[in-house]
Amino acid sequence: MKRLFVILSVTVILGVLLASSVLASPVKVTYWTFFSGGDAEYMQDLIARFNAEQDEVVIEEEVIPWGEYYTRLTAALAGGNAPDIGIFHITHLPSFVNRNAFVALDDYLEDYGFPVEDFNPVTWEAVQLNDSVYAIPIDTHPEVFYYNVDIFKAVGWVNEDGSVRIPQTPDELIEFGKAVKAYDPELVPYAMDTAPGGAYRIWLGLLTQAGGKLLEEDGKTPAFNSPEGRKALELLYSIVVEHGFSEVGTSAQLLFREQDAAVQIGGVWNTGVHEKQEGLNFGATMVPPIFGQRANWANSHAIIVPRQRGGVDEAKIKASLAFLDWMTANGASWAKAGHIPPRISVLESEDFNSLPYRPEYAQAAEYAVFLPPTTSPSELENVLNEYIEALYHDQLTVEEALNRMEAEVANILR
Amino acid sequence: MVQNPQVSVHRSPFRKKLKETLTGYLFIGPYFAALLGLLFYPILYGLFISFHEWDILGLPRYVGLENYIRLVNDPVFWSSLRNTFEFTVMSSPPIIIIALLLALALNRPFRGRTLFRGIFFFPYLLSISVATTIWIWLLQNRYGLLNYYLRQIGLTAPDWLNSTTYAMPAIVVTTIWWTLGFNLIIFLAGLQDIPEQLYEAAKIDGATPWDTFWHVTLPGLRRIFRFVVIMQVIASLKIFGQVYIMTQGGPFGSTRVLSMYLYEQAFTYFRMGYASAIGYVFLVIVLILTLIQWKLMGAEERD
Repeated sequence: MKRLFVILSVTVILGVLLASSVLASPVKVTYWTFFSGGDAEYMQDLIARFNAEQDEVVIEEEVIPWGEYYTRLTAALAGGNAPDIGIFHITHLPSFVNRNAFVALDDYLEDYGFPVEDFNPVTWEAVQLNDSVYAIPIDTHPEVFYYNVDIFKAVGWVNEDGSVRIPQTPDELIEFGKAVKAYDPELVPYAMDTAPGGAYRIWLGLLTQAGGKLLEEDGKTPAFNSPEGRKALELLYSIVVEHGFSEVGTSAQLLFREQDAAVQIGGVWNTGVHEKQEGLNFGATMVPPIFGQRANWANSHAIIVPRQRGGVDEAKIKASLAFLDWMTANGASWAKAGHIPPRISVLESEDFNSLPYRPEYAQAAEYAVFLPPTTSPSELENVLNEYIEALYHDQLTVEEALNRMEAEVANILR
Repeated sequence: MVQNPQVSVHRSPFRKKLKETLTGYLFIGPYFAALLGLLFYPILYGLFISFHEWDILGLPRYVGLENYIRLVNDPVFWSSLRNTFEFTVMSSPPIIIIALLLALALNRPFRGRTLFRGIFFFPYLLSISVATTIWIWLLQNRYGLLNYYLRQIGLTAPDWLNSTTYAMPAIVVTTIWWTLGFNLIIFLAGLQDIPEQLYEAAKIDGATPWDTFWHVTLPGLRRIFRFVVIMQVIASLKIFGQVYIMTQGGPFGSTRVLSMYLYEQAFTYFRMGYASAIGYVFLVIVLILTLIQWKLMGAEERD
């Protein structure tokens, strides 16, 4: 009897030890990213800190070259060896969600008690498709308005209080451009993304400001060949071609960094680059409401959970949500890359507001205009970019550009 | 075997042959298996996919000839094909002729010959990203070295890579600079294969240097020349990396070549069926062009 007791207790103790050691072994989560430039170090730093601060989850980052990312992810999904989580542009969600590639997260968010209400509603809405949440946003990255303080002062565009005077209307944009050219014809008044990356972005922002939209609600019918779309494109044509206020083809970031441009309209990721440039005295603000109301192009980095061959691993999803909760709560660190944190509590925090430049344009996330949900985002972007580029090279009239974009977009999204 | 020589004589050739055959198969086996799995299977699968609609994630859906019909009616396919031919016509002759002239010069004995051979061959050793990045920076509009000097001497400096007029020539020049060295080496080897006696005989007959070049050097290079022309035209038709890195097919599609269009369709838009159809049509075009060249230059060789 005594012997049996000993055996039993030993078994129980061993069992408890074993169980606890199993429980204590951390959940490994593989995480694919495409960050390589200025963003990379901030992401690595976040992962390292999260891994060090707790011992239940280990995040293992694998960096995939940006140009291959969506191809590799598609191949991995087809081959059954997708990562546990992966970074994603929310504009690419529909094409993957339609192919049933990602796990809908609603139930898991509820079980976890994820602080959904703390997220910026504009961005949170953009991660939902067919009334389900398919991604957790970790930032919003809109286009903003960078200005070279020295050039603004040199050309006399300064308010009475000494702050720079930002052009607010189409006429003021032209007027300021003329002032810059009169001061130094070598300067570029407006450095903008022209080719081939993002020529359409400024236009999308402007046409939304004018009250227009890119596509109809069905996500298939072009709606941009409208008075609003024309007005926005005519303004760009006037700035770039008629007045020569932009330098087509030269990197906008480079022009602004080299102090050869008075203004850069570009994505917030430029902040992290420009602030490292010695001697560059600049500021950043939201794109002004040129056509009356505020709106600016934006995209958002979000994190998705690929569907696995073996079914859903709830422990991994729970661990991933813990990581994402922590990462977005520490959004001020990610904001160092220039991005705008998605969580309201972070936007109000001291950590974020003590950062230079970012708080000045943080509100741009509320006026974010995303590429509308479509199953062919890359192709849509490429077509728009190509025709706007042709317009900038004065190979087409505004009318022709709009008509041809409309025909081709209708054909792609059909 | 020593005890029974007759048997051994009888058996040995067969055994030897079997052994040799087996060794042969063993040697080519691993490579052949790799070829089978990594080349022949994908090629056949590509043909199969070209009759389907497939986005990698789902299952292929049979669509018959739809992809090929679509291709015939696709203006971008035709403009890409035209750009590919334009590049081939612009790049192949200079790469061949300059390489030949350089080979003739570098085949003569002079001081520093080895050094110059190395210098001209060097760009070929660079990876495509390095070679193209050098030229992107040289040709950059505002900050590039070339335009800096053009402006210094008072010329207008075009934005090379962002101009429908100059982007393709800029890619051609980059390609010439980068790949010349390969043909140069082949031509040099060919020149060294021409027997010295022929030159001596020409000399004795009182041939001028031009006669010698025309009647001894060129005929001696005929086989090499054919090889270089055919390989060069194929290489030019296949151009991808330079365009992908330097212009991404722009400005607005003016440098989009066929392989670039194929890549876009396959890996940006995930239209595997359509991309495979483009690939197969491209393959047939390259085959036909190669056969035509083969026939033309083969006939020349017989007379």
